[in-house]
Amino acid sequence: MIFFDKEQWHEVFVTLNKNRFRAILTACGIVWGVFMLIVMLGFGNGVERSIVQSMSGTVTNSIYIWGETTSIPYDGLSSGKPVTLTNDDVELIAANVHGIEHIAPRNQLSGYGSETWIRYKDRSRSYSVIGEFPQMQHIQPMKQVNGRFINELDIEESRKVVVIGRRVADELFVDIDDPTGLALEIDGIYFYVIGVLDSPEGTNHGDRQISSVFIPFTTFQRVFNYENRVGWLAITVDDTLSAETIESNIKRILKKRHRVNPIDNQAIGSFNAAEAFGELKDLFTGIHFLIWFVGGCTLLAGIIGVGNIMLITMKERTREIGIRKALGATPWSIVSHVLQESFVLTSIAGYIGLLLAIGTLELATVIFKHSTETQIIPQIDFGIAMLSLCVISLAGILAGVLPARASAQVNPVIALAAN
Amino acid sequence: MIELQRINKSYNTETTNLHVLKDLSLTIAAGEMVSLMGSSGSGKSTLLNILGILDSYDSGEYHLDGRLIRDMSEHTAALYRSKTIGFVFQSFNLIGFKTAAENVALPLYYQGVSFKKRHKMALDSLERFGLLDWAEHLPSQMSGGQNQRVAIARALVTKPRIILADEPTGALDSENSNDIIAVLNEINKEGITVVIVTHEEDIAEQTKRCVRIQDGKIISDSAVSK
Repeated sequence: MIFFDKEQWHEVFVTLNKNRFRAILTACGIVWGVFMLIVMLGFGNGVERSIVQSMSGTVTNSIYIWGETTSIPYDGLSSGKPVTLTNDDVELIAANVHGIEHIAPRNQLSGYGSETWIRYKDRSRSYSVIGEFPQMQHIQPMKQVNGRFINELDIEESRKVVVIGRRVADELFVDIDDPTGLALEIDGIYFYVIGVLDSPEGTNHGDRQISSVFIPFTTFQRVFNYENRVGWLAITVDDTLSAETIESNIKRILKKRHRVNPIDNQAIGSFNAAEAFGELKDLFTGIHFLIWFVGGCTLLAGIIGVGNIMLITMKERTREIGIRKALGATPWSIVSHVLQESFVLTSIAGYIGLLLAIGTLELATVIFKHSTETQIIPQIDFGIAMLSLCVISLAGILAGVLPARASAQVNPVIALAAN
Repeated sequence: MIELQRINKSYNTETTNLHVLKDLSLTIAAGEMVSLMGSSGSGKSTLLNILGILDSYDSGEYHLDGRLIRDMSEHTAALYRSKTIGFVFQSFNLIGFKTAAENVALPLYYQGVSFKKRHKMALDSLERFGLLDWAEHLPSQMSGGQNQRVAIARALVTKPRIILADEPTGALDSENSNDIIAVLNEINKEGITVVIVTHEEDIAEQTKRCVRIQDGKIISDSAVSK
């Protein structure tokens, strides 16, 4: 088969090389198309990864529920009444709602997001203080660096122990490798450090986690006078029921118990990670489609451009083809020559476009790494890059089909008569 | 070598029916040097295209080297051209972006000769016509006479049995014309059949046999007296 003939490849390369300017112009469309497609894919992946990463502090089947204030008068109560969750709510939910895998009530000193001064010897700084159940390990990913996490015994005996985040350990216990067994002071009360934990992710969420200290939930309620109040509930669900169904079941029970109008949507706040994650996934699917569509069309335009220019140059080259035919070129050798030219042009152009795009993505990565605000690291999957290169090469052959047909139909008599 | 029997060829368009060759019969033996004379429109170029299997004919029979040439696929025609026929054209028809050596090597490429071998054969062929120093020059860097000699070197490189020359001196001055005809005569002495289409009397006089064509018919066929 002449398509694999070394001599023909040589002839194709010589022809292209001798007509370098024409070849480069023809290739530009493909270079641009591939460049756009790969760069867009790279940035799309980067954005997706950064969002997924910022989500990864949360287990994706988790639901968070907290009390707010009522907005509708109900059952003899006026609106604006605060809803406060309690230990009894937790038991009620655990006993009556199906599909719950883990449930862990949480409290944060002075409320969600606030910080409290913590002291070790002459150093003090402010960190989040959180009352925690052992179950939290299953709801939020964490990495134990030293010692252990809170256990059932700590809860039962309301021990004055604390697990501290890595940053807390670094900042308060300077020059101390392992702070377990040492005591620190929170709001005038001393706690023994039993462990240090780190976050597996370097995200916002993880950042909060390593700047927090965790004490047993029961201890928290007792020493800070929270009685039986619960800040919020962290729940993970198994896959028997949808997260939305479980969320609404929990809310129904809570509304009934706290005498809230069933249609009052403001009284109980919630965050459903599964739902949010699902929406994100839809968004990504949309973005992917858009990128492939726009990039693919750009590439297609490039390929059509190659075909078009080749077709025009075939008209110019009628004489050359006529000469080749008179000198003994068979129709197939002409056709395969044109197909190969188009194939070589598109694949080399595609390769250049790919290299340029990867270079741009690498450059962007370096720039983004130096700026702390963004964690977008544009990336392109090797497989996708190779796949697109294969598609381009194939498209190159397709782009040559029309010009090749035109060249095969050249009548040497007419071509050579044209003076 | 060449045997034409009652060849008819017409070009039909929507408005005209041009009967170019009318019952034309002609025999050319191996080793002859023949000129086909005629004014433009006489059908001599069409005849040459049929001889070169570049064009088809409507009726009659054309035997080339004992084989009937009719209804050939383009592929087979290409192989026949490649093996037996060398072309020389009025406008040289060299490929502009290829050097003299590359142009000469091109017919060998279509015969499947390897790059090294065909390059060497091309240089040998060029050397014979005193063009070795011009091997790496492009056609645009050479004179008309040189270009035509490159074209002849190209036609001969495959060692064809027949050379078909269409107005080979049409674009040349008289000095170069005589030079080219001398070259063609020399080739003929080696036993290669040479057919030259021309409308110039002094060119025809330098061949051995002159066939005059008018309105698609042979009006005279005689040996050239020296």
